[in-house]
Amino acid sequence: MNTFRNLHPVTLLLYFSFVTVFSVFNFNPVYLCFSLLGAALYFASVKGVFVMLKSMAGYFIMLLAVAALNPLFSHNGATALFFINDNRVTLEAFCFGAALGLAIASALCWFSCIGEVFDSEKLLYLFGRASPKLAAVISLSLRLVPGIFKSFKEIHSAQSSFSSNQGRVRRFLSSFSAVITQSLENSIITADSMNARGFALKKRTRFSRFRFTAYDAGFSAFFVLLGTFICVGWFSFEFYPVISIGRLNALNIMSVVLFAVMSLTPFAYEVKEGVKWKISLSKI
Amino acid sequence: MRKLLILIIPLLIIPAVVVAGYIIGRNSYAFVSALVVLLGCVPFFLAFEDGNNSGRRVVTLAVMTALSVAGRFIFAPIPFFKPVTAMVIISAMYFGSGFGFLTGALSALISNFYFGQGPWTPFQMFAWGLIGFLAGLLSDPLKRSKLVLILYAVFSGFLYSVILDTWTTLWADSGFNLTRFLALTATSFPITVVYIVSNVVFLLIFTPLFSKKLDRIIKKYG
Repeated sequence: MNTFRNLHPVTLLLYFSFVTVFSVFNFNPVYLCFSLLGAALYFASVKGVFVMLKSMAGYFIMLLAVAALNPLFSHNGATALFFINDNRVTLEAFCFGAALGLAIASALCWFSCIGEVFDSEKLLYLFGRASPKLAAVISLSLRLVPGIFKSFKEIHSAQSSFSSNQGRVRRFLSSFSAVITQSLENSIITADSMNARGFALKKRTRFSRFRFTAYDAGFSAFFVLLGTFICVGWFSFEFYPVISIGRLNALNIMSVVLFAVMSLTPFAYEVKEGVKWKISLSKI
Repeated sequence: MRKLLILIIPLLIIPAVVVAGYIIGRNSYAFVSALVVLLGCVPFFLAFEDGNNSGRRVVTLAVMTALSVAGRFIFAPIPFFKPVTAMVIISAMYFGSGFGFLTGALSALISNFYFGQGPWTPFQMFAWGLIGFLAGLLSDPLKRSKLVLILYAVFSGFLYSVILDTWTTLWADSGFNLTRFLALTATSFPITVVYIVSNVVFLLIFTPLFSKKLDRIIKKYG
């Protein structure tokens, strides 16, 4: 089954940098609601509804906490609700806190989607050409981490069984020390082997299974167009001194609608492909 | 081209971003700071790419990074005992400041593949990178005196928490709100202290061991 994550990494990078920038650095609740909705639906389609609801519950508690705490730090705003120690607790600060919580929640939700979509292979493909040595370092350490953890467990279980009089922390430290020695020595062997196979040569190519098709180009163009029109029609939402929105015109409404389209694109894509898959199954 | 970029980014592009952020207005603090921090990492990456780094250096960097990331898992059963900062400092002391910066930045990037990427990733990369860079500059006094080592471990714990709390404040307030910053620092203070203690313990135990390990490898492989 074809899914949103099977689009070309460049297209995905374009899409996710748009939505995260619009969600992290923006406190307009109208945009943020659509952003959170799109992220949550996509996350649910990737990880299942239950996991999504569980993380949403966490985000909701955090949102309430941020909204409740913000007036304690920020005394801007014209509408005072009550006073604590001569400090005004304002409605505007409370609403801003809620918007901030919404921004944090949607950012976190998009970042968990990114974690699902961008595996290290895509990341190395994207940045490996700009910096091949660094890409080599990153892919090496990604491969080494599980190995180090595994050899630590082996060493630790051996050490634990013959020296039970050591303290817990001490035992961890001495096992870790053994792991450091082992990995450093292995690194020299790895490096010599890499050099023998021509690591230091100038012209090195790398294998990747990604191809930029017309389909990906179409999607990229679509995202760039959406992003441009969203920015052109951006409508401002001011919290301080009083909550106010600029006068709405057609451009502003278009911007919000396009933003909703943009946030919901991954979910719609999954639904479309899911339906296609179901239909193709029943024909067999 | 790369050599030129290493100069242009800190001298021209970062100031240009800051000025542009100032012109755009007060709501751009968080975005500008994230951009500046990311751009701040780029010259180090470029310098590593340009430098005369043999296969051995490349693999050693990967191993040091992997060790500090794996350390986060290995010490997970012991609460708050995270060897990342200590590993970054050790790496910088023995392999130089640029190497230290990369160990720190890549440890943050790679460990967040497991613990979750977020808008904080660039700031963690920069904070740990900076800790490594400064440790590399101070490598001689750090190796010679235990007192300097302890002081630096304390300093780096504070530096890390100040950089991350500053980012949270800038993000939350679209400006620097001192009350919120102090409140954040106060809430994270106990954790910062535990981190500092674990850094000190780790550094005191591992710094002498590490030089022994390196000597052994140099003798064995030349």
